[in-house]
Amino acid sequence: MRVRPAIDPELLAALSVPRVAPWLCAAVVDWLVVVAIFALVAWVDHPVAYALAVFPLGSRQQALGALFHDAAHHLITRRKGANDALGSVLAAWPLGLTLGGYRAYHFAHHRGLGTLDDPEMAHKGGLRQWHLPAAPLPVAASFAGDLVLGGIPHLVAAGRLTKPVSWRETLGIGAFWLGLLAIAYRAHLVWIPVLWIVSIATVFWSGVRLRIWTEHLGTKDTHRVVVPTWLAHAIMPHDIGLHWEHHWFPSVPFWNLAKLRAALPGPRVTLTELARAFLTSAPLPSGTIGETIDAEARTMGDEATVAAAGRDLDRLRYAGHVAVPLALGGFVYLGFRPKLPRLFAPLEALGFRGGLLEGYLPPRFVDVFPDVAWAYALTALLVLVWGTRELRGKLWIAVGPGLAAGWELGQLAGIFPGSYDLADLVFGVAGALAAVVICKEPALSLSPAAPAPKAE
Amino acid sequence: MTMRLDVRHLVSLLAVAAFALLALGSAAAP
Repeated sequence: MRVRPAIDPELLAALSVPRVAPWLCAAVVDWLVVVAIFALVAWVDHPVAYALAVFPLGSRQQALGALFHDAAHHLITRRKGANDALGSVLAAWPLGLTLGGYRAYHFAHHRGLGTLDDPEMAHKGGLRQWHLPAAPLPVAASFAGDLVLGGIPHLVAAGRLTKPVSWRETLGIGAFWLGLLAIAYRAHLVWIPVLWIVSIATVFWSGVRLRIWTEHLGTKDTHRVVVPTWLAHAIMPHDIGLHWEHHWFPSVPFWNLAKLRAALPGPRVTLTELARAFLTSAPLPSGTIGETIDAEARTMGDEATVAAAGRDLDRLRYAGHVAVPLALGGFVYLGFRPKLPRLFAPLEALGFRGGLLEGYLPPRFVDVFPDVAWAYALTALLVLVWGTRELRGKLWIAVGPGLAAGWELGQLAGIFPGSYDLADLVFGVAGALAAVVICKEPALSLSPAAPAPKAE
Repeated sequence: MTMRLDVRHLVSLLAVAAFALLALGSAAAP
């Protein structure tokens, strides 16, 4: 039985008074950032800039999501008409949602939390991607898949769950988007709504996926998560990560949630502790109800689960720190250089022509980047193979920056072919050293949850 | 007592050799 945390009623009443100004300020700042992103992209006018813009845009869409969530709870102002007008035009409609439709879904989520009446369970059950224990590779693959529109089935499902509840709403959002597209068309700026929609379907959705993980998975309650400030700004803006506080006291607007948290004692967990618990949890299939993770992120997973999660995490580290930089370096080297060296003659015999993308990136970058990426990949491999404790491991690891430096210095001395370049030397060594710093400690270690080794 | 080679030495040697070859090969003129 969940017990509502005790709070001074006067404090709760004071924290629950809606005010337009903080909401409107946040909305205006978020939109100014969005305008600045579009202006910057238009000014740079480079394919890479358009592609990368989805990350900051998706981050601001999360921010608008937090704001429309407050609007759905009538937390902008007590005047319903004004609340819904502001919430719709500045936050909900631009995200393709209507307040009425979202309320029907979201209030059922509040009422049904911890039971199969929660419509979020229908989503988790239908698109079964929230299994416990979490398997690192499929989870990483689903986040990566979001970036290539893998989230579309989820958005369709979410659209069904939050369908507009009235003709007025349907007309409102329809007119909003038709008007917007007409203006964009007349102004020859159709790329702006297109980029906006692509961003919703990729990075924005990815953020929602993450919140589905961190909010209620493995508990019938809500995880009380502590998110580092910088990360909160990027992926859980406007204190939308203070979801435990919100679920217990949904009358408190977002700009008072931090004060509410300060007034309520009790355990909190970091994202890292929660991730560790997900990886080692007792089984709980996606879309089913159960308590496998407690308020302090402790779980009951067995030794085999912990061992399997550890192996998967290791594979993920090799993939991320060795294979990905190796491939990125190769992509830039083969795709953007005018001529391929002799090493790649077999590729040319197979009909591959290098330099298809020549001119799309600054030539200096094309020169230096593969060296940096490859120096990083080699050194990361050595760090992952050896760890940094033993002397023989350290000696092997030193070969990474040593090779990067020795190669360029050898060119300077005329020992190796090719031309010496100070930038190659500096950035190559920096790439290798970065690998040591970054890979020395795993970002996520299972050791605190893992059982102690048995004495023999 | 038999001497056993730690397989990590072999992996490291192969990786370093592969990268050295990559460097030499990509520096050679087309």
